[in-house]
Parts: sequence; structure tokens; C-alpha cells
Amino acid sequence: MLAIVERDTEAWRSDEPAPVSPDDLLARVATGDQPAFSDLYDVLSGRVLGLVTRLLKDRAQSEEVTQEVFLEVWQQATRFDRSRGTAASWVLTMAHRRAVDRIRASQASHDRDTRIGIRDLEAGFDQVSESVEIRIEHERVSRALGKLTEFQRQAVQLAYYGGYSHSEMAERLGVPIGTVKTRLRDGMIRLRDEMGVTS
Amino acid sequence: MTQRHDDPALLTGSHALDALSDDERMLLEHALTTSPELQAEADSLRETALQLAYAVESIEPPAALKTSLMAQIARTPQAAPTAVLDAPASRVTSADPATVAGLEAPLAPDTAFGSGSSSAPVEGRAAAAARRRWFQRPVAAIAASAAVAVVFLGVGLGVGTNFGQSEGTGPGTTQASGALDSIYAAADFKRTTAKVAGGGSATVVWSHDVGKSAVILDGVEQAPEGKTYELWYIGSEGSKIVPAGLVDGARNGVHTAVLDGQLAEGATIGMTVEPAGGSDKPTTTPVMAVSTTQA
Repeated sequence: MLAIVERDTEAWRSDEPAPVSPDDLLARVATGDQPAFSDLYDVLSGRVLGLVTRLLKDRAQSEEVTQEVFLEVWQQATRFDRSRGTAASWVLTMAHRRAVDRIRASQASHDRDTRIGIRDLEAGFDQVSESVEIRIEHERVSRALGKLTEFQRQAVQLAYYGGYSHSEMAERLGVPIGTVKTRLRDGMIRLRDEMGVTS
Repeated sequence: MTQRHDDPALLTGSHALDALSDDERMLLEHALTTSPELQAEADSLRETALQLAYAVESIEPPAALKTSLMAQIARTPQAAPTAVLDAPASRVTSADPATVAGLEAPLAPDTAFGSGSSSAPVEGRAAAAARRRWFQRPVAAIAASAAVAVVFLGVGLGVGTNFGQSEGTGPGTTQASGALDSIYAAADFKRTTAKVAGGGSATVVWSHDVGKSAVILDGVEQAPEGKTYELWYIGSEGSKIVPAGLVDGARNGVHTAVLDGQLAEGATIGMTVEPAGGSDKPTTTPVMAVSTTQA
């Protein structure tokens, strides 16, 4: 018996507590399971706060938004449809949207223009990451971004990491708004194809 | 500014990156409902944008944030699952698949969580009872169960002070925003938000001075295949119910509809699921109802 267990690594593995995926946790949250919510928070809150902070810079505001995001996760978990994407995608999409809404709602978006230059935003992307997982993702994204034209890359990064609307970008970059739209769309299509994203 | 005349197909990249103004987002999301190709592109670009999120360094929040959040969810109700809309959906057989052909599953069966199956028959009976007489009951009774959670609206909707703030996007006077403008500008502007059965929220804005009202759906699913949402003006006695136009949901987004016709004193604004093309009078339980006398 022991020999079998030793040889059969699959069986051996199944004795380990399987890590619970965010998708499973979210399904349990949808039934009002508060401990599952606590676990889901532990898994995703770092990513959410990281992304929101990337956009808002201000730490206190970012924590506020993170709290709003997770409250919404709790409220809307019943509506999550896993055929449309993963729980992590769902939560991060929500987080990005809320961070952008916060930027738009505050006049700070204009002050921000003067405080943070485009160069800073681009430099920010090249920060050295500590976690292996993030570094791999980071390299993957960096490599794919490298396939974009300079203008496309700039537009995509300003939009996603800077939270700029395309009208703001048009003004900032001194190009017509139609040009910004085209750069964003062509850039995203190129990025999609480079990264092999299927949906 | 002329961008509202542009092809909405150009907006998918901006949409994925949350770079659109509210008007533009409405324009695109409307276009998505009629083009499966565009929807597929929008979905794939949205998924691509997420890869950008995964490349950002995590920051662990302070413990106090979680403590406060856990206390908050303990007293916060969750949204109703989408099962509520299934009952009316299964009753009508003369569905017109052409209207939504090619789009993704309109309302997913809630098998994903296995939570709704046992409650479905109960829902059916309750819905049937409600269907007979929902418009005769005080609206408060309908709304009470629905209007539970505080919904974070306003920020992304272009309401209040935020409206028209996004300089550079131009006037953007689509018909909806033109009528909305006049409602928002009215001295007796009123606004209230209710949850929509099946998920999402509806913010109803109105002005008796202008005699108009509008419904802003946030995160409301598309109506099931062969169905549409229909808006109603319900007279104060519950006797006179006037159709006020059809409206689509807006998955993961915001959709605004100005009601047809004139807002009468004391009227209630309701929304039901009806067969595609709409009905002369409501045939299902409302998924949302708001009295204009309550706020």
C-alpha cells in the first residue's frame, strides 16, 4: 500500500488540501459564505490594491476604492457568470473601472497632468518586480508591448495605467481624438495577438 | 466635436482600457448588442487589458481594511440572483431569436452555483401571484425588497456635477443625453436608485416641470433571448398603465433610456420583461418600479 502511494504521485497529491481557486471561492461567496469571502479577499486584495494604487497614486484613496470593490464583489457575487471569465478577471475589471471613475470624478485629473509626466508613467512600468509570478507576467506583457509601435504603446499605457480618457490623451499628446482611438484599438489588437489571448 | 458620428467599431480598444466617456460608452454598448463580431472583439480586448493588470505589483492592504470590510459585508445584503427572470422567459414560445442571434447566452442558467435550482418553483408561484396584481399594490411593497443596497452610482454616469465635466469630449448631444440634460437642469430634478431583479441597478431621474423621466441601467443584463425590457408609466390609481418604450440592458455597463410620453403627477415608473417587440400592457412582474412621489 505504501509502495503504491509512493509511486502513485497523483494519489499522493490528492491527499494534500487542494488550493481553492478564486472561482470556487466566489461561487461560495454567492451563497452568502462569509469565510469564503475572507479567503477570496486574502487571495485577490493585493492585486486589487496594487492596480488601484498604480492608477490613483494616493494610498488612502486606493485603499478606499479597494474596499468599495470588495463590497461590490460581495453584493454582486450572485451575478458572476464563470462562463464569461475568471473570478480574478471579474474583480480586476471592476477595480480598474472604479479607479478610473475616481480619477474622472475628481478634479485631480487635471492636477495630475502637471504632476506626473508621461515619462514617469512609462518608467513606472519598468519597476523591478519581486515576485516570480509577477515577473513572468511582467516580462510577457513587456515583450508584447514591445511589438507595438511607440505611439500605440504610449497610448495603451496612458489609458490603462494612467487612467486617461482618450479626450485627455488627445489634448496631452496634441493629436486628434480619432488618432488616439485608432492607436488604442490597433495597439490592443496587436497586444491581443502577441499575447495569444482568446476570448 | 464630431466623434459621435464615428464608427463605434473604433471604440473597442478605448472601451477595454476604460478610456471612453459615458456618452461614447453608451454608443458602443448599444452597437455591441447588434454586432456579434464587435462583441467578440470587445471581449477579447477586455481580456487582453487584464493581462496588463496581472503585470502590476501587488500591494498588501493593511489588516484594518479587511476588518472593516468583514464587518461591512456582515450587514450588507447580496444582489438577487438572475433566476428571477427565468420564470417569464420560459412562458413565451414565440421568441424571435433573430433579435439576439449570435450574442452570448442572454441570461446564464444559474447552474453555475447550484443555488437557485431549489428555489425556482417557489419563485414561479410567487411570481405568478405577483404578476396578477403587482400594479395594484403600493409601489413601496415592490420596491422595498429591491431597494436594499446602496449602489455606487453617479461617478461614472455623468449625473450631477460630473455631467459635462469631461471637457474635450464635446457636447455629445445624443438624443438621450439631450433629454437628460433638460431633466438634470430642471429645478425639481429628482433621482432615486432601485435594484433590478436579476441584478444591476436602475437610477430613475425625473422632473415634473419638464414632464420627462429617464432610466439609467447599470450592470443590468440583456433581456433573455426573444425578450426585451419595457418601460411603463403607471398611473397613481394603478389603473392606467401606459407603455413608455423598450430598452436593452447593458451588461457590465451603463445604458440610459428616456421614457416615451409624458410623466404625469404621481406616476410610477416600472420596467418588465416582455416578448421582443414589447407589449401593450405588462405581462410579467416588474423587475423594477419607482414611484415619483417618494423622493
